[in-house]
Amino acid sequence: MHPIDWFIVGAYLIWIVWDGLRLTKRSSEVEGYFLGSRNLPWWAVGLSVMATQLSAITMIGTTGQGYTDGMRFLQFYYALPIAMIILSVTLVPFFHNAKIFTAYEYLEQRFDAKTRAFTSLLFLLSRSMSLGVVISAPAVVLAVVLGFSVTGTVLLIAIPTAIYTMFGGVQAVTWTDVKQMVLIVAGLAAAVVVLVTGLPSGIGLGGAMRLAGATGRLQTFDFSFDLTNQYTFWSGTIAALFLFCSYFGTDQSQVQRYLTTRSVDEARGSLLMSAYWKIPLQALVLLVGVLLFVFYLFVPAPMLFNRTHEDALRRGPRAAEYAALEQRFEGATASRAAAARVMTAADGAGDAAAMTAARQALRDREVEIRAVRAEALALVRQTTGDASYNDVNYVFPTFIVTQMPVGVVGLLIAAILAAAMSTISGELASLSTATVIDFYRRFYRPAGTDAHILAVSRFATGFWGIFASVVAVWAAELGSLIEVVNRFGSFFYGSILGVFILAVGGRYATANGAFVGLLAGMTAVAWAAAFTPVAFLWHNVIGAVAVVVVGLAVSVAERRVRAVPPR
Amino acid sequence: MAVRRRTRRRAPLVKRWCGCSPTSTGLANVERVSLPPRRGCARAARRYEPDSEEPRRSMRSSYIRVVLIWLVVLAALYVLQTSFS
Repeated sequence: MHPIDWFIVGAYLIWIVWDGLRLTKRSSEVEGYFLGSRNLPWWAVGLSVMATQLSAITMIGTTGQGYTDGMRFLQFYYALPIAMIILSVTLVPFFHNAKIFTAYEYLEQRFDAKTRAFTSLLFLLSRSMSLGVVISAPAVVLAVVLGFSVTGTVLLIAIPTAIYTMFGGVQAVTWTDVKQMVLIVAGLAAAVVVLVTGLPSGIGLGGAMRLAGATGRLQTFDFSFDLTNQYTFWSGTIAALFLFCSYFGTDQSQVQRYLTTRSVDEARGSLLMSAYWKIPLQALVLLVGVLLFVFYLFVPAPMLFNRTHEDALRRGPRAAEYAALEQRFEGATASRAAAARVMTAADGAGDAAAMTAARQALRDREVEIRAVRAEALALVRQTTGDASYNDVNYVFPTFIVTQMPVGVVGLLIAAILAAAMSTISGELASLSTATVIDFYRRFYRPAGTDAHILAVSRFATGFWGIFASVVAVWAAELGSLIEVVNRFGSFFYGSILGVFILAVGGRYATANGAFVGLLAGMTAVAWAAAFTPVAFLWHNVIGAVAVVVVGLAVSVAERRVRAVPPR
Repeated sequence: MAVRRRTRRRAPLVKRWCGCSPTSTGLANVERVSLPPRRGCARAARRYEPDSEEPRRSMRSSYIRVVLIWLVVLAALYVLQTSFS
């Protein structure tokens, strides 16, 4: 990277820590530290919610998905606006009016302490592990691209974030998120501009869309009903509805944000911002990936985007095999570029027959290239022993450092760091809040002074920062197990949503019913994950339904046996 | 004169009212914001109206707007898919 780009990245890191620390003076009370004195504006909270959800994995992984698979991943978000409306009508007023610090605190008001403690513990377990992956995934990629060690990159991301979150609390998190969100969108917009202007003359955005569409990369609707397929219209609207209701409605990293607003309506407004902007924003991220594909139609693309593996294969015992694959790849990409040029020329001349023939040729070459890349990836898997290896996450960072102009490289790397830090800070704050409010203050020091609780909270934030960094370094060596860790949280989401449905859905459910239902829901999800091929998005539906059905059944039985009156 | 200047300076600061500002202007602000009063602030509590009809109506129109925009975005994506494939 050019010194100017390093300067931009360094300036960003210093500025964001300074900006976060600047807000420390407003966080001298427990309510100020955890909830910004419930006085933050809805638009800042709305942007912060979106920034937390848009992690570095989105920036590098989703653009990579756009490159390889196109825009079909967008279907995953189709239910989000509806989930936001459901939450605005149901859970948000309950939480806001209950004057709580954590979502799980509400469960004690409605049920009992054990239900609260258990759901909070599940949150701490899943969120702390996934936080490690949130740090690890971009760190592994940036380490390869920038030539750093993984541990060094983990610390580069985690230390500044932990510092401003520890001292600034949720206000620092929210206001830095707002600025980081602006930086992320600016970075994505810059990427689109560089990609479109980098296309050969005569191919504008419309031409790029036609080329992408010809290879199926603009497919945003798949109406097939297949429970094993993650990204269909039905999984995106039905199964993902449960996931989003659970994530935005019961996950402390999200709930804590809208508890910082002044009123119920402001909390609703902050959630509805995601309803308006999440799908267009995600479409922009995927569009960058699709434009990357079109860009690499005309510019020689590397067969594998991870240089480390490429070098290892070239020097290893299977170098001849790899060289043969490279030769096939170069031939196929040259033919694909020729077909793309013919298609563009036919489109310009309005020659429908030539256009159809060129489109078919482009599709055929694309199939060939996919096959060669699959063989190369299999070679890497056999050589490294990493069974789920993929180079999707390396596509966008490789493009940034090899094709972008000086200055924009620094901006984009800073944007990736901003995406990582905005997610990490929000999650660190929520982990600290759940630890201190649901456990330390609830069971150990109920009468602790603000100063004492604040000191413990800062310690807890620092502890979770160190814990997540250790997990991140460990996860970097896990390879395929990262996916297991990442899906750890999805085992609980549906079940926790089920408990909240029982809590706000009526007065009939009992505390024991909710608790047994929660255990039954988790068991049902574990069974579905182990013994059925059902895609993990549907686990949220299975978990929530199991909790509600079993929870109500146990409640009915308990009321009959013990004659418990409705609460 | 001095008192009036102080009153004017405090009036727009919403968070001051729950500190029980003795000025009438400070209390007038309470009626405009839907913040719950802090504990012990009796005067503010009397004037606090948690959810008026007006914000509720505006939320309903927000929900309708979200659904309409959602349908438009989905339709636009479907057109994008069919016209470029």
